[in-house]
Amino acid sequence: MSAIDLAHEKRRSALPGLAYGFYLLRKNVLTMIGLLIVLVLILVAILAPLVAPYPKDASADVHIEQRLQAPSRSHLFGTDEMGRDMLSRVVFGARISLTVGLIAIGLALLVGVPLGLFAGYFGGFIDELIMRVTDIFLSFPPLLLATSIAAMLGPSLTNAMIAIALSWWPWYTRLIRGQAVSLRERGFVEAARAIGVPKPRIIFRHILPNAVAPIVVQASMDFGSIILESASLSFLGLGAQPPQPEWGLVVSIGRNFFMTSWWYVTFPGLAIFLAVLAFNFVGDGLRELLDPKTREG
Amino acid sequence: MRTYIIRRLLLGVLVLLGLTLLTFFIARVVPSDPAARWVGPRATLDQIARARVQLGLDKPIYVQYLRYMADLVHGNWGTSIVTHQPVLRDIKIYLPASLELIISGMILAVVIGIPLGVVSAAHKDRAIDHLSRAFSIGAVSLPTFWVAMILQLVFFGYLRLFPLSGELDPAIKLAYPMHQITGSYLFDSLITGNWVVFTNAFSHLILPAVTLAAYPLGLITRMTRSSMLEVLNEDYVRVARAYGMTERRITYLYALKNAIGPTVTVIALTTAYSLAGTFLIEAVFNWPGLGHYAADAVLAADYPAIMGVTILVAIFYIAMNLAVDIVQAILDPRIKAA
Repeated sequence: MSAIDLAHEKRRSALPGLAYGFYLLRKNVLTMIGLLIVLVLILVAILAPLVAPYPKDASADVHIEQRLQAPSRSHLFGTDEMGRDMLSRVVFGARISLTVGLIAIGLALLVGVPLGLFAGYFGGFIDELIMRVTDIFLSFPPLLLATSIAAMLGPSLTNAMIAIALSWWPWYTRLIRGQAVSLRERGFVEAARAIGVPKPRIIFRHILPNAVAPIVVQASMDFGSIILESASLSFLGLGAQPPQPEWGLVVSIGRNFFMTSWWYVTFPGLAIFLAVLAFNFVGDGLRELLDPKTREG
Repeated sequence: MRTYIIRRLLLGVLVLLGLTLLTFFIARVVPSDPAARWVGPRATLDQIARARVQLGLDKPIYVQYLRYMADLVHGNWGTSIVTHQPVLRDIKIYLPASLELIISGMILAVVIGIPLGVVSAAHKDRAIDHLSRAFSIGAVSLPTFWVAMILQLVFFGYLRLFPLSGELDPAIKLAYPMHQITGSYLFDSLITGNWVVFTNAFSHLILPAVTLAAYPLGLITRMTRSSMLEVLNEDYVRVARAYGMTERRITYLYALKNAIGPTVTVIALTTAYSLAGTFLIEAVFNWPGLGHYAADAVLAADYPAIMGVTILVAIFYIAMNLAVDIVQAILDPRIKAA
């Protein structure tokens, strides 16, 4: 072992969890690229009205005289069949995709986490029942389940979010159940039980905070897939509705024009790809970080 | 061993039962008024009431479920609102084209993905590893419907290398009437030696198959890489190295054999998953498969058809899962103990 390695070792043991984690992440180039893109994406989404050159074009504005113009200095991404600036629509699309992702994951956690906590803490029949239900949900490919639920609920962005949440919650239930099972036997939980702390309080004040870290990590790893799933639903006509500038929907409408106007599907599709890629890069870094086998190997 | 398989089979049956409960719930309870949806938006109140009786919606919910189950088991999966054909018959017509697409896409993914994953693991943290990791993450991040269009734009629009869409040129379909054996043009023309149809069908297949391969390719590469990394750290690999075996022999003969398990699982599950993924690809390529059928059904709110496809894919998914678990248990004695 060289002196540099030794110095690394020393530094590792000296660093507390979070800082050490970030140190390891920083070594991973792909993850840093991903993080950078994610940050830009969040900024663009928040500052959309300032970033977009023609903020009004994100809605139902019509400038028929400029329809389907190729990219130029005044319209970097070209214009669509209503003459709306494609760049502005893509910028506002970031808002929709990130919000939809956040709400869908939030809903999935809202369903999945309490169920996982109950299953893990109470065990026995409740555990068996909840876990068999998750088995059933997990026996569908998520996109298929989300598609059929969204189709039944009727096409809208809200229903798409509900459908996505319903196809994702079992993963969180499984994950947090495992956490709860092991936490249940820990000293501080036993102590709380011994002094008569009521069960709901034990579950939500003592077990949940200690189980939250892996859930947050998993949710951030899932974010890319969720964005992709919601774009796919919109592409199928089951999510956002015109004139919303949702990326999947714009690509779907672009099907009618893309052979003559290449920019129509290229840029919104690229936006989906970059967003999903960035979150997956970050997720991959987190995964490597949490799995010492692939880390040290 | 036997008890393990029996337990897995029983669990599979249980999950299948639960699956029917879930699809029943989605099809009958989630829509606010299934009878109104059945007769359409311009129906009179009287028609809705009659539809309610006709669909058995006036009966208690458990009776409805039992009827639904009985119909499923007897192969009565409802009638499509769009095609006016029994859903199961529709599925039989559309399935071969989908299978043709999925099998060719999966072959492509396996043939490229496994070697790429192995090479990546063998050269961990070197340039080729970084490249293959970026590639595999990129492949799973691609919106398939967009890739499909970009491929069409480049290879049909600009290069004129491949046809835009469909399974066969209409002119060729007319000039060379085919005897349907499996329902797949590619396979049928191959075994009957009809080369004109075969080459035409093959050129139609390339773009959709490449699109379909992207996602499984990423997953397979990634899974092979990570399980290879795990195995390459094992003691027996170190021993093999100490004995002076060549790195190539160790990697491909000993390590890969032990690392292939998780990859096989991924291959089986993504094959089943692809049946759902073809929704997006077949719609763009106008490929006459199950995904195209389902996408049309979704747009027309044809829910007997949607539920039929959902159930079929889920059954396929469960069966694949089960098969993999059993094969895995036979191959790897360590699983039985768990």
